[in-house]
Amino acid sequence: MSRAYLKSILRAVRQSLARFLAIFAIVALGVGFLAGLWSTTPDMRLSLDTYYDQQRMADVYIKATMGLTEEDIATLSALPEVDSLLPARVADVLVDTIDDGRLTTRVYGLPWTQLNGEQPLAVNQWQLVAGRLPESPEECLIEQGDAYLADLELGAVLRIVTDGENGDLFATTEFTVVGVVASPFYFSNEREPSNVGKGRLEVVIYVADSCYDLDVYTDVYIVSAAATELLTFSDAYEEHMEAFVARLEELGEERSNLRYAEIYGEGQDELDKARAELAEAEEEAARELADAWQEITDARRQLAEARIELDRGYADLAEARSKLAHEKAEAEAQLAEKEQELEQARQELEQGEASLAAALQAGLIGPAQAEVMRQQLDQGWEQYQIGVAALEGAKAELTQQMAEAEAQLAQAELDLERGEREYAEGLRELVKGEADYWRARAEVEAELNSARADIEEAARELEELEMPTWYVLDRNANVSFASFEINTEKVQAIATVFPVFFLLVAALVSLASMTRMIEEERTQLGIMKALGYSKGAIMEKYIGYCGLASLAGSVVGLVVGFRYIPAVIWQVFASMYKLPTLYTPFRWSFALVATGSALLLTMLVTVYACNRALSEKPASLMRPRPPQAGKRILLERVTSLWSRLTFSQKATARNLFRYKKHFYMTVMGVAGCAALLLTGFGLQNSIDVLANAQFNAILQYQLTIDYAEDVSIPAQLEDWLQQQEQVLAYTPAHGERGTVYQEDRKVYTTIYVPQDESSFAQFIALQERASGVALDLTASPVIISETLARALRLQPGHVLAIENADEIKAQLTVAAITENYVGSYIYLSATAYEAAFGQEAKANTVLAQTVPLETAAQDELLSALLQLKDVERAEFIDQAKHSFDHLVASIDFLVVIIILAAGALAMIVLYNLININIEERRRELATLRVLGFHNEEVAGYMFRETAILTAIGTLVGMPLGKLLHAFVIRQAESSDLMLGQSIEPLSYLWAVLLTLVFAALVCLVMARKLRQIQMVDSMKAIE
Amino acid sequence: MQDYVVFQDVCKYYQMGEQLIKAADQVTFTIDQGEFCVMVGPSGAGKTTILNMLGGMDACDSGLIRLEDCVVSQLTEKQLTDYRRHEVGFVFQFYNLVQNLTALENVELASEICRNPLDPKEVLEMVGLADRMHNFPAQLSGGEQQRVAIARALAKNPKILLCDEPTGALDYETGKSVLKLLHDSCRQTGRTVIVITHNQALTQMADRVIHLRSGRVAKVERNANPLPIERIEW
Ligand SMILES: Nc1ncnc2c1ncn2[C@@H]1O[C@H](COP(=O)(O)OP(=O)(O)OP(=O)(O)O)[C@@H](O)[C@H]1O
Ligand SMILES: [Mg+2]
Repeated sequence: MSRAYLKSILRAVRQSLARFLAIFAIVALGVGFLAGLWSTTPDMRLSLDTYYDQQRMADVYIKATMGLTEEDIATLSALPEVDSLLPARVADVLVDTIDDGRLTTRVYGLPWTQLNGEQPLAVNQWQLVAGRLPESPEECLIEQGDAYLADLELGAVLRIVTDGENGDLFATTEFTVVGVVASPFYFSNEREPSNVGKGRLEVVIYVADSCYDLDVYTDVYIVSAAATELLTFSDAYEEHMEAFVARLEELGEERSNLRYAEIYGEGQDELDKARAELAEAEEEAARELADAWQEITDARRQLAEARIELDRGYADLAEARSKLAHEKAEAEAQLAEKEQELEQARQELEQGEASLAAALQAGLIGPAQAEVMRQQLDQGWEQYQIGVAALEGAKAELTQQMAEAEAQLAQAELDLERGEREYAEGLRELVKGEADYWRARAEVEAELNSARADIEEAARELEELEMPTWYVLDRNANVSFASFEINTEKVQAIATVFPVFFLLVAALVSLASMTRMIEEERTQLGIMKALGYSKGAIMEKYIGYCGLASLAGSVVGLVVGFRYIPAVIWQVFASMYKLPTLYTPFRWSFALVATGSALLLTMLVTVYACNRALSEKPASLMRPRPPQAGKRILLERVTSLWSRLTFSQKATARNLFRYKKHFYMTVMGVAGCAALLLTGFGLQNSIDVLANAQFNAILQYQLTIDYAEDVSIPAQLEDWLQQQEQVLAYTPAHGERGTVYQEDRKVYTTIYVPQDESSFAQFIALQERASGVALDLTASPVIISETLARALRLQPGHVLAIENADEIKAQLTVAAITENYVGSYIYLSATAYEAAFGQEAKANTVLAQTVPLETAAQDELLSALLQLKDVERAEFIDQAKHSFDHLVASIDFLVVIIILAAGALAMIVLYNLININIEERRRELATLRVLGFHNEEVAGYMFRETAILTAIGTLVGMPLGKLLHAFVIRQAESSDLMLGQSIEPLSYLWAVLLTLVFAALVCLVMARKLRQIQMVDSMKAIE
Repeated sequence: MQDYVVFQDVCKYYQMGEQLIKAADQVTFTIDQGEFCVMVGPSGAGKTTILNMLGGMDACDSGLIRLEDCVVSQLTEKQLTDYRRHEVGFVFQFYNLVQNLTALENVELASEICRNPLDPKEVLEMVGLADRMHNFPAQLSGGEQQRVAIARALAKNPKILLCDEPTGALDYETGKSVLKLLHDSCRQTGRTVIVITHNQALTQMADRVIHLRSGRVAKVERNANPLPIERIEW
């Protein structure tokens, strides 16, 4: 490239800066959009990949049905393909909290030294968002909250419901939240399914693995050695991972066999041990029973002996008694005899006395005789007295003897009585002992039987032991990853549509500009041709000029596009993800293709324009080009109308049909602008509709209360609901998670079965969107949400395959489709539910309408609710609504960007059009000014054409915008999200107005240029 | 009437880098009403400059320009536009017709905007284009186009007609007839006409001839008996 050549180009640029800028700007816009939109998806994916690499996101994770032993882990880490791994114990459980009720929680048990930060996490490194790392095993970390995960505060206490599912797995069951983390595993605001509770994960916590009462690991997270270098969305990565997964699955089979043998062996050992124990127990029981029986027999014999002795005692006593009586009688008889003898002696003595006395009286006897007789008598009395004394003594002795004997007998009788009591006691004991014996015997027998049954059961179980399996899952199984991949794919789909359009407009702008430039320099062209320059040599300058403009535009477009367009879309993604840092590298391949295609297009049109001029003879080229002949147009035939037009209106009418290039360029550019604007405002409408219709018109309840599954509302809750003045109305329903299967797709949905079908419509409006016709579960027992219907292309009458939370599969025939924007739902009548799943739909949720409440009042109500028995969870839908505010904000942001792009497009095109028109009609305009036309009149003449083209472009832009809007909306939708389908009239108005404002702005700028036209210069000879 | 057009010490300079070009240097002359005035001089003498200043297309740097009672040199931009609109008719060397309008429409273009225009059709008839008035400029010969241009200037019914080399691009006969048209219009309506030409022969038909040289008025001649155009040969 010679210096002269460059100089000539630079001079040309300086002479026609406006034209150069127009090509430059439109190419910058086109290339910027092309490169920016193309690189958006790769950039986003690169950023995620970088984030994954930085955080050491697992490439695969293994879930083992029978757990992973230390040995398994060791084998895995010995694999050369494994870079690092993290064994973990993972389970979903229900957790009670003080402020937030019962939550479905995933508990990750991780090695303590990695949890407390002594060592870095081997895999899935988190970023600490708030708080600190745990210092004791009673402390835990919690995953950052989002639309689906609850935002628990630091210091919150979580108590695992131990009688719930998996609740028995834990050694520690109470944890205090000390830190909030963001893990790469959970970076999207997407709902994570769970098979516990209501089927959706609400909390993720990280605790020490020692909190589990398990000696194996359930999961292991693996970073593969080579995958770090590969881009996670690339085919190479995919291939690599396929091989790796296959290798792991193979290993899994191997290890599972070992694990089977191990578990089987352990089981067998335990079984043997149990059997031995049983035998021992049987023996011991038999022995103990025999001993007990012996004791009973002994006791019985002793009792019999005691009886005999007792009976003998009775006999002896009776005998003794009769002997005593006999002896007593004998002794008394002897005593009585003695007494008689004494009486006789006394009588004899009395007689002797009397005879003495009589004899004395009669004096029959002398004193001596009397004396002798006296003496004899006294001797007799003495003898008698001795006899009486002896008798008395004998009597006393007898009495004493008798008393003694009596006492002895009484004693013997007492002894016998005691003996009898003891005997009775013994007998009772014997009876009891015998009963005890039989009972014990039965018990032992039962115990042994159950032990035998247990052993048999265990033996059977052992025989039926299933082969353990390793589920090897790659990143596609990660909800966040999968969602990100799908959404970036959508961006790619949108990214291919826009830039093509911009490039097309760029080509038209260059065509118009270059044609004009060559027109201006046709004389020069003619001279050169006449002088014998080749076509190529003549073209060089124009190709250089246009190439320079395109190249400069491309460079600016690339630099800006690569940097800012991905950033804008990234910003929009921020409403769905906790996004990492965005990387926007300069992508040479895209840069080359974008620049190349822009250059090629502008060059082609330049060559085309040159060729057309150069095909003329040099002579005709050197002559001023005969101005394009004015042509009559159809309109002139309507003479009555035509004659009423002013000259400038007539000229405008003819110009419109004369310059086709200008027409297409302007109409396309302006239509593009209007279409973009309409799309932008339409998007805003769509989001607004979503937020308003969903949270005001469709969901007409404010509060959901979940409780333990039951047929009716728990009494306490019912009372509370009726007493609360803030609660206006409520209805119970059954709600659960469902999974809809279609080919290889799997879509999570929520099944609702109202208890009261007639009042349900008060809480959730079921209606067909297009017609607004209300739907009724009685008439159409299976109503699915439009989100689901669109995602799976379901129509009324279609059959869908569904699995409910209890993993019961069923087929449902869609009866109707109800308007719904957020979330996916299936509404079933109770009978339809029962018919499909073969079980009753028990209510577990209350939908309630409340008076409008401030957040503080809502919180108060919620904490009151959670105090109630059986209430597991309560939530205001405001919380779900808030998560859309962010989305709305980012769409607003996107709309601003779209407005800017649209404005740029329209302004460049219009600027170029007016610029060319002014250049082309400089003499004409000067003539008008010479003739005394006012500035406004000249501007009117000039801009009327612009105005009409703008109007046509705007009109064309409306249907175009509608199509574009529909396309973008379609791309943005998912099974959980439908956007408003229609564009508000006001948006059309805004799009039109803004397009006109852009056009007016350009006209305003160009009016200055118009005023600066020098009449004097223009009157001179034709260049 | 005396001194219909007055130029008094009018200067117009162009600064071209170091060099100061004096396009009009202390130009002083007068023209009476109804005169047919011819301005002659070598190329670059300043003829166009003077005519443009008189026509309100260009401003002078100093001096006084007056047309009848209107001091052109003191008009504002807006007043100049009105002045051009109502008082002046221009005829250019290259016709400067609007290509997209027919002959009639080109005339109407001018007549539409001024106070008491002549009927466009009549004017076109007058210039001898009665049967070509619905043709576009591209369909007309140079002479015919210049006639349209003259018709356009006349239709405005201006006080003064300024013609910058109206025959420059025309052949002898056509040029002659165009000049005749201008002369006739001057004589018939008493309208002042100024014609710039390189053709010295044409000075014979003028009432007044202004000779210019290097931006200065070299000489002003008055012809008591101007020759009719038919009698002039060159
Ligand atoms: N816009 C301008 N910038 C610089 N110089 C100018 C400009 N217009 C005119 N001139 C100079 O002023 C002088 C007078 O020019 P003018 O056009 O009045 O000459 P002229 O007598 O009409 O010549 P011609 O017969 O060739 O038309 C010339 O020397 C010209 O170069
Ligand atoms: Mg001149």
